[in-house]
Amino acid sequence: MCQMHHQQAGEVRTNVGVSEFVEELVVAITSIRVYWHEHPRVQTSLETLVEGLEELLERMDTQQLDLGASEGYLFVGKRPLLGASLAAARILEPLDIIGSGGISFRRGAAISDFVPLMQLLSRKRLEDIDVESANGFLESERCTAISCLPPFRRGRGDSPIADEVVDVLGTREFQRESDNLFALDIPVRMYQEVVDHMQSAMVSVCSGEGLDLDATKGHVETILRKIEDDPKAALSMSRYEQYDAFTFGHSIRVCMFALSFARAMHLEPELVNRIGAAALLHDVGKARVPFEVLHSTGRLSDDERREMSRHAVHGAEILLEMDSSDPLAIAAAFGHHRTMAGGYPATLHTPTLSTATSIVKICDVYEALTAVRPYKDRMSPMRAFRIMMSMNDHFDPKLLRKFMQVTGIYPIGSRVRLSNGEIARVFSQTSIVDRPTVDVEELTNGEPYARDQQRRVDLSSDDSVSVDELLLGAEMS
Amino acid sequence: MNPTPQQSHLTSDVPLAAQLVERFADFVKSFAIYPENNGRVQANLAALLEKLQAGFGDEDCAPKGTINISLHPGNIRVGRVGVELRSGTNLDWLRSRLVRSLLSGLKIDSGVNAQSVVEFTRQLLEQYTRDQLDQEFEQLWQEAFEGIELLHRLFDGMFTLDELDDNGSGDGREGDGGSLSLDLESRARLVEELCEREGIRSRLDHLGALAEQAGQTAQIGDRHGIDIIGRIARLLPVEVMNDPAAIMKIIMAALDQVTETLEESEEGPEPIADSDLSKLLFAARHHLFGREGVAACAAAEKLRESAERSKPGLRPGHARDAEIVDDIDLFRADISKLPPLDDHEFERDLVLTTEQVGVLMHFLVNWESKRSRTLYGRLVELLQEPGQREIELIGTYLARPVEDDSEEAWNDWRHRHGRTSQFLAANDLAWMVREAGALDPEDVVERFPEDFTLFLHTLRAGDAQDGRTLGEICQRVGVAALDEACPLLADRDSLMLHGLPQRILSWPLQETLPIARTFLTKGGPEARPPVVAYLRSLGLDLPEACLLRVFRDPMEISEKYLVGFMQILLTGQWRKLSEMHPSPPTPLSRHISREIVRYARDNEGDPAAVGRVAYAIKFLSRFRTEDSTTLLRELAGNRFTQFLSRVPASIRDAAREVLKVY
Repeated sequence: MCQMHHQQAGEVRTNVGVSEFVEELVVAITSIRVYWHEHPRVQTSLETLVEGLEELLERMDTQQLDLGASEGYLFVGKRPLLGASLAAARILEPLDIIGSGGISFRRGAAISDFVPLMQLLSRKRLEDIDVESANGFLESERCTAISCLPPFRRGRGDSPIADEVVDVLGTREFQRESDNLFALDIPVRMYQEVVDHMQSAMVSVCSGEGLDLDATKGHVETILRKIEDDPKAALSMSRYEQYDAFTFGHSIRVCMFALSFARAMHLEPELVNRIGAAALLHDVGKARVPFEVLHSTGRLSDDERREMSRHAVHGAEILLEMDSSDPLAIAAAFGHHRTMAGGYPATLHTPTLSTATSIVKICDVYEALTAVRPYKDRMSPMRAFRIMMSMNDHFDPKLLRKFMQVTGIYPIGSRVRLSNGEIARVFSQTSIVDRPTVDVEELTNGEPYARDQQRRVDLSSDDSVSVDELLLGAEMS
Repeated sequence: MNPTPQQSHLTSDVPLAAQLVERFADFVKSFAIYPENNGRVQANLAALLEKLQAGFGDEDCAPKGTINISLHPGNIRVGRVGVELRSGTNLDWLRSRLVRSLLSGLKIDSGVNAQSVVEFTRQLLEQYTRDQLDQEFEQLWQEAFEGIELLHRLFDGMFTLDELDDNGSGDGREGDGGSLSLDLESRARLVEELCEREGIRSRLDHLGALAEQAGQTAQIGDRHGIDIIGRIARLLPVEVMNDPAAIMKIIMAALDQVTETLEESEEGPEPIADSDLSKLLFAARHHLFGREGVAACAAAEKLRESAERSKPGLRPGHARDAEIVDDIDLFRADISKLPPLDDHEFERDLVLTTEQVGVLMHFLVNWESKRSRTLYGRLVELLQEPGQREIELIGTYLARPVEDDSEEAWNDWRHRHGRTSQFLAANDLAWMVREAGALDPEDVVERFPEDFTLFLHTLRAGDAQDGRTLGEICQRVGVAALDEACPLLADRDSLMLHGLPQRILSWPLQETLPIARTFLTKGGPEARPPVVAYLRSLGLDLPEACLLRVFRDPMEISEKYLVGFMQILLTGQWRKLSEMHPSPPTPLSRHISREIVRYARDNEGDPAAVGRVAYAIKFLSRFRTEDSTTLLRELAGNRFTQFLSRVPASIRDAAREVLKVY
């Protein structure tokens, strides 16, 4: 029987808190680009930041939180925040431009301190600003509890960034630590760029401007190339389960699954791209759903449910308002919640779902079931598949079967424990859904094999060993 | 939907104001369906005029002697009295017509009469079917109507301009529940932030450049734009803060219009009057304050109350999670029950046209028509070679309610049927209506004149069966009814679309004479050639018909003559003419003889026209009228001799033969 291995608590607790704090920073920066800083939504984010910082400092028993920034990562306590960094391009990029090594938050920081920081980080032009002038701006705005850190320099020792970690990150060879996600080798830069693109798309929609569809297609092509060149790394992105405030991660993961599925169906490359773009944009309508509904963690009222459902219509409208948008993407945005029998949005005519829309729908539901959410437990792929099979009329059974075969119950890139105790990483799916091809990487005691000792095993043709357990660790903590 | 006065009007409990405006709606609705001289229309008109007369003496309806009818959110106000607007009623239907014609209401004084009401209503209904939606108020309403003053639907946001004080806080409109605008400080901050937004900043820079071109400084242009933004911010209610996209759109649209005006003039930016700003904002207002916008603001306001984020709590991942176990054997068994996929099986349905057509049709009927323009092109492309599924889908949007006989269901049908048929007709796709089984000839006859224009658009040129069907329908409807309804069928643009006159008149059916006449009177010169060709094809053995052969170029025949000719045919007077004999001389219609005389004189010296002139003379000689006698005498005299000297001998002889009559 397959079992799941849950993440450990304790040691990662502090960094989980910091990750949430960083995520809230990203939310605040994004919100202030859409609304104005006195808008209730922005004010709520800022209040959350103030409270969150206070709580963190209390827990860490310190007066100051230094958030380091280097090589595309955020650091705290000399450890990189891999997960938080993925969605933090809007923090990292401005700090990089002004040459700052991070941000320092001191106890007692109030909303009035965060506002100038947000304004600084959301500025369009930063080329003529350096650390000194940035801090000068903050001081002039009476921001006394937050400042920009000097640039990171190796050997200084006073930075929140560890020299050796930066060296490792710089060469992109990750030193593995237990249950931590260095080993996932997620293409961080690519993910950051896509998230940044999705954030910008949301801001554009909220501001009434058009989407940059060419950039969307470009990102889809990049992801597709990555899937072709390095499927393990690329599909690792699909297993990054961190919940993000604006559900960009969800759209990216759905895109990954859809591209992988479409490729496996041997579709024309152009069509694969179109399906990928449709998947990336299928939830773009959520930009028009009130924030309070979108991120409600309690049971939705009838009004709120109706409001949420409308994102499918909103998404199709947003795309339809642009001359260059793909009809396939419009149909997918509109119909990805519909079933063979109907469903929302209700139309006068009987719905017909194309294969393309059906692909997006399957990937959307699968991602929603298997991803982490603050309001639900994670679910194993097998359990998710069984639920999907029980949802009559929702999916074309042939497509669903194919999707399960392509995705497998042990996703590509995931770590598994074999029946002989060894730890392996899934390399590819085979015709038998629970017997993939794996790369055996670790001994039974967890020690890694030397490179020349690692071996690849096709479990579909090797009866002597099987997968015992899917390891869903604290991969992105 | 019943266009007759509703029972509620007859009770004395209903206020006069409500009776008046409902009579108005009933009249306009009946006029939309039946011709002016229809009994129902006349009865409704009389009832309306009666209520208007009563209203002039009523203090609530006409506190200052004139009756003001004005549109407000949720009601129509008559004088001091608000009459509720319920969805699906005739009043709601009337409201939509007024809005589309850029009217916020009417001011009616005692000078109003039946004719002015009819003329106003006719124009109101014609404008509703127009395609161009970007016309200015002055372009739409060029005529004056006695006793009726039209009120332009200016931008007014959630409250009118004159209700704001200098501090920018307004009490909102009376009866609307009020809505406060932003306070001074928030407004200033909002303006400052808006000016930094990319889309707005670039427009302000452009205004600065235009100012410089006009010899002013860039700052003047910039300040001009900022002033406009400030004044718009003054008009915005706080609810709009939840819709930043709408704010951006409105401001950018306003700045674009200002820029456009400046680019066309050599003057620099000048202060813009409040009324002009209102008109300018009106063009963009429906994004914010149309029905959707107001509803969105209301929804956002309600949700804003729960802006606090609560901590997450865990709950099961799925309703069925508890009953599904992680068992690989069960899982394998479940999968094996699913059919396998052949890799090429889905190629046909990969990108399904039917799906896309369905989505676009949904928006076609549900979107505001201006936004619909963005999808027209896509839909036309998808429907170039439609399959049966697409045709059936279109039929769904045209189908009448079957089970639900409520007023709302029928109104909904009218709306989507109108949108769909208008789209199909405008894009030469009307044939799909019949293919989809949504327009049976029996239906056309039964519901005449409804759907008749659409039916015409579905006919295919040269198709014999279509021609027969047209003839049968016209016969069954009858000339009188056809003649009565044709002038009201549609506006010029709709009638002249996609060669409709050429198609309809390609069949030599006398039954379609009223249609031909309508083409001519509404279509103008463009319609003349197909009308003449049609008249020629009728093969009428009539003196007047001969004239059609005289003029080779249909543009040489005046419209007036053709209308007169068709009138003779329609009224049956042609029978009398056919019984006439050339001698004793019989009076010829004066205008016809003048036409011939004019023609002969105009072409007198033209060798190419000699034959036709001779023919004309021959024709004229069959009748003795004052004009023809005068002409022939002239021709017989010196002028004709001179004329004859220039023509071939055979022509000369023929002409002399003719003149022997005289």
